[in-house]
Amino acid sequence: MERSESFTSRWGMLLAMLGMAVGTGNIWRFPRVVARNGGGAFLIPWFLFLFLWSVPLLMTELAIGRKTRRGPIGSFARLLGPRWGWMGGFVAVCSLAIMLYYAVVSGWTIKYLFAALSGSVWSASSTAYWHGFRAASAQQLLFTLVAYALAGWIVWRGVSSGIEKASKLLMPTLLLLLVVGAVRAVTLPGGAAGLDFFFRPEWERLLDHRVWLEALSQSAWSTGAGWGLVLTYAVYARRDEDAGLNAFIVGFGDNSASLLAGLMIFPSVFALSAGLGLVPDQIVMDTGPANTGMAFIWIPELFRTLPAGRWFLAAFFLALAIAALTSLISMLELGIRLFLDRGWTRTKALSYLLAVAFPLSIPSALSLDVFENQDWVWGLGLILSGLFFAVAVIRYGPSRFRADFVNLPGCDLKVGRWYDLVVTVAIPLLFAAMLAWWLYQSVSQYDPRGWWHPFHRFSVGTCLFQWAAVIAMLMLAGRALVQSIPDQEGER
Amino acid sequence: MSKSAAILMTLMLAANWGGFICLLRLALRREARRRTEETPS
Repeated sequence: MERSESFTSRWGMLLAMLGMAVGTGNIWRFPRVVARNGGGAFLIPWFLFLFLWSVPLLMTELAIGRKTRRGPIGSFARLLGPRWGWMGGFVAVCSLAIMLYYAVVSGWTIKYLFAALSGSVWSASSTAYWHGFRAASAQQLLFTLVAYALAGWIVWRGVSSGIEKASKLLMPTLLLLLVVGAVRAVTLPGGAAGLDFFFRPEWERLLDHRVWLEALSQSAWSTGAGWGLVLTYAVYARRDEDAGLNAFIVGFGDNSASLLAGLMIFPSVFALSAGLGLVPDQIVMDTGPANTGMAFIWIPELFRTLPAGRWFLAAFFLALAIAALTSLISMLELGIRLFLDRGWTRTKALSYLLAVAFPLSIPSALSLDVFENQDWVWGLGLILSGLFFAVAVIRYGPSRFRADFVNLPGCDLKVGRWYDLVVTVAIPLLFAAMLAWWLYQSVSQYDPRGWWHPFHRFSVGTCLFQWAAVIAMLMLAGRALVQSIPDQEGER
Repeated sequence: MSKSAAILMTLMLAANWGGFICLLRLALRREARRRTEETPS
């Protein structure tokens, strides 16, 4: 089969990058975080951090990937020298570790899509159905495997025939589903109360530092900035492709998808919970096991009362499955890019990656404790990944980086000196604040007694232990990590 | 729906969706122009 290793159009590349960014974090996490952090007041810092963290990092990734034509390890080595390859290695490990449990989540969305279509999701109470599904180990493994198989098939077909083609089909479908869902929700009797809850600003909450830190975390995790995924897709972009404008499009697009998801979730919950005698505020804030409460328990329960509810529930889980799948695809592509850089074929790289990834996903599929631990460790690790990109630019020289990597001749959007300031000051400061805050939460709330323990679920110790183990291995590997990457120009 | 919620909703949707659509249109227009220039006459 002829497989082209580049995007055929800017539209296709942007859709693939939007598919990477728009994931379950937009549909599932965003409404819950908004609800817990002051509604409209939360949206202001969330919007602000798009410019102080997410877009500059997306821009950095795009510029590095496009120019170096290598995955994260090769990119860092090319940008800063072979001694720095370990930093790219950490970025890659972070995203791949997330992939291991993200495949499990993707499997859940596929299972629930089928369950909604068949109506079996309503064969018991939503809580009982969820716990029954979680207890069925074979099903957990089967649907994780299905998620890997679907994403793997698309990645195997290559960049233009697989990823680009799938994105061109899936992303407009996702947009359509979100728009239909939002219109239906907003027009439900009582839906306006949900809109009011979503956007009503509790201004005093802006004085609460937690709201700002949650907003920063949401922006960082939702856009995928600093994950190395945009860097991977940028390897297949045209050499004179713009970095600045494309990064803004991905950032704004991701925020827009989150708002649309909010327009779908809040009015639905407020309109439908009244009939069941439930408190809507509690539902949208409910975390449940592994934060599954709202999406997998309350939404099926509420949609039961909606006319043609089965179809709307299926549409909701189809949207969630598409969002999850397009993000999983980008993580798999990052994984195989590491091998493609070493001259492996796509088929061999993918077979090897899947053969390792699926067994490593099993612990997260079977145990929510492992799942939550990995989400805690590598979700926080992404903040460190983001910092590594900033460190790379600082070491290279921000002005020089803009001239050599970002503002290429004929670019659509010239990036000014504000970028230097954001990368050298804002990102390191925000990193320190965010890391300190999450670790402080671990010490003060999550695990006050065992915060130091390396094997506790939400401890500081488990984060530091797992990060240190990975960094030590990568540094021990040293030059061997980058030696096998040929120092020649990319495929195009 | 309260007035402050309505104003914030309008601002958020306009800023994010407006920004997204305007920049996407700009990007696709530039792409089309580039392709036209690259096509040999």
